[in-house]
Amino acid sequence: MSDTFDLDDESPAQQPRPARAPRGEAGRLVSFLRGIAEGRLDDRLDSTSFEDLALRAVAEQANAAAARAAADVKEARQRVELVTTGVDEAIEAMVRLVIEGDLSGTLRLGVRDAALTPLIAGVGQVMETLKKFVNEIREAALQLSTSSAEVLAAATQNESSTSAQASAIHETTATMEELKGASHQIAENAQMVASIAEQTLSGARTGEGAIKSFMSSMESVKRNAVEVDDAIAKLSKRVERIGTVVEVIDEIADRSDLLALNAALEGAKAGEAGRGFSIVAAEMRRLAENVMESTKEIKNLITEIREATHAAKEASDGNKRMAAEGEKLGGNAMQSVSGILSGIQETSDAARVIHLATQQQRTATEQVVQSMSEIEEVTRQAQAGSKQATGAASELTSLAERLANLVKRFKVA
Amino acid sequence: MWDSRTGFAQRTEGGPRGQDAWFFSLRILGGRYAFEAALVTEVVRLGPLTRLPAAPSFLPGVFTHRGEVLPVLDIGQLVGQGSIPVRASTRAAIVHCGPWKVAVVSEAVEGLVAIPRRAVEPPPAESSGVAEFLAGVAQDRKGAVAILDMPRLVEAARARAVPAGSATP
Amino acid sequence: MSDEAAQLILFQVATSVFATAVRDVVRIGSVREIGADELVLDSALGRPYSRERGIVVTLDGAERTLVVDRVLGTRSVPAHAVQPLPAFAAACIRSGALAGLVLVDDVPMPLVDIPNLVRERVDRAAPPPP
Repeated sequence: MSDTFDLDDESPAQQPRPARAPRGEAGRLVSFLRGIAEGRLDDRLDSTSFEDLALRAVAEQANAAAARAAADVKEARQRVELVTTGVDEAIEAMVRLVIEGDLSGTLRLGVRDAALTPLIAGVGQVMETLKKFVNEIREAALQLSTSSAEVLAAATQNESSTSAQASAIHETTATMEELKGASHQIAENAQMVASIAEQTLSGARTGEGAIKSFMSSMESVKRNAVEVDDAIAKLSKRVERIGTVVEVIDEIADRSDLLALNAALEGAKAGEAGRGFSIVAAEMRRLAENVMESTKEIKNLITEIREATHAAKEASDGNKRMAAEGEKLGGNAMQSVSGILSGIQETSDAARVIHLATQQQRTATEQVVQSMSEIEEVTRQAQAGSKQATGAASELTSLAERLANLVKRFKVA
Repeated sequence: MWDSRTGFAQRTEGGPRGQDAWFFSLRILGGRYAFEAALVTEVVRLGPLTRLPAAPSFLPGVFTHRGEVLPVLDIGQLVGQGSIPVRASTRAAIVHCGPWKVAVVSEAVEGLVAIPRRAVEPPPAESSGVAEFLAGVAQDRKGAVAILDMPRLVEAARARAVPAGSATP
Repeated sequence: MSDEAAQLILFQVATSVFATAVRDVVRIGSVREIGADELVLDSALGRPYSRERGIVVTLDGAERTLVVDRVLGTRSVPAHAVQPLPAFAAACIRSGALAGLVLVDDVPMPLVDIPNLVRERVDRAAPPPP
């Protein structure tokens, strides 16, 4: 112990330096206190050395304080040591617990201290909790292991089955695609057939129409020919009647002419006496001549009419023959066309059926393909998923194993 | 000279010199045929003919001229050398041969020609066809000309008259 | 009309028109009612185109019909219109069928003696042709 203290020793606490430290006993006191403050609790003052009674008292008290402090400190130190030891032990135990995994016992410390009780309780709680936890985990790990095994198995199976399914689906899809393509082709061909049939059908219908109109015009020609025949017959009859009448007139005119001629002859023979007679006769002759001129004209006309009528009749007959021929041809053509039509109709219907069917098929196929694609997608996803699942499952399994291993270390009971 | 009034050729001072004779030339049968001009009284355009039934072929018909009915003589038909076509423009020479008065039809009428008598040569020896009636042949400025003996010709024609009762072709 | 007028019948055979004196004509008849042997078809006048009319004459007491195409009618002409044939023509034509000429409108027309015509026809037809 030093009685002096260096006030210049600055502690890191940066105590303000007084202006002038008291010397003497106060100073001794101060440095003693300082020492105590610094932890030199074992220092004692010789109180008897103090002359100042007050200071003496203080020194005595200081001694007492120091002694008390020292004792306290010692005690504290002792306790701390104890506790520290206890804590160490606890820690050791926990470490052991952790490393060895033995949760079966309770924590027993070789050191007893009330201060350690909460610690022990706390650690005990921790251990209990840990125990529970470990149990749970073990259970979970077990479950997990099982489940993950199952999942793995399932996933593997799923994977393989989905793989198979995927390939099967893919095959189906491929087939369906082919089918789609083929049915597309068929549909197109059917479409072509249908359209060709349509065209032929409409062409045949047009032909049918044309033939029908041709037949009806033959019909008209026939009817016309019949009408013409009737007209010609009527005309011929009339002409004949006219001819008859003309003949009669001619006859009369001729006779008149003769009469007149002979009358003129007689008149001429009679000479002067017969002159008047001759004149009348001449007049009569002129009349008769006029009539005969007219009848000649009429006869010419009749001849012309007869010829025209004959020509018309011939033409009409020709027309009738032609119409009959035309009818026959038309009938034949009609039959052919009907045959074609029914054939085409059948073809057309068949083609349309095919077309529709293939269209339907196509649609269905497309739908199937679509569905298949979707399924494929799903399957692929499933595949991916199941791969993932498998991976996850295997990961899970390995994790579970690790956990189980980990947990295995803990002896729970 | 030619006197159209009387129809007779007049021998005038201005006429042919002594030895020349007037002939009347026609174109018939493709050639020049002439005969005594004195026989000709007139040249006429023929016009439509009246056919006569039972007439010979050299008598194609009759026609009226100045109120007179004249017969037509076709020399071609007479000698069997085709017939002279009778058209509106056909010219004939009215010829007097004794009692006969005929209109000699021609292809063309040339008219009066003067031919020296000594220039008239004997006809060729053939006696067929028209040569039968030739008095001679001559040459003038225009070429050869056959001299017909018209009176003989006409008489010969008459002699070939068709017998009664035959039909004309 | 002068009292010397000649009364004629004008008729047509084929393309030619002829005249004949009325006194020779018995009547004008229709050919249809007449038998073939009484018909005179082919004569010096030519061959008619048709058989419309017949001029009936009497020949040796029998009626003969000359078939003509047309009978134009009676015609009166002045006497001077009836002329004999020109000398040359008369000399060339020996047939009695041709009696002369008639100037009808200044156009000469053959004047036919039909009985002679028929007779000559008959006479010609009777002996066989040489």
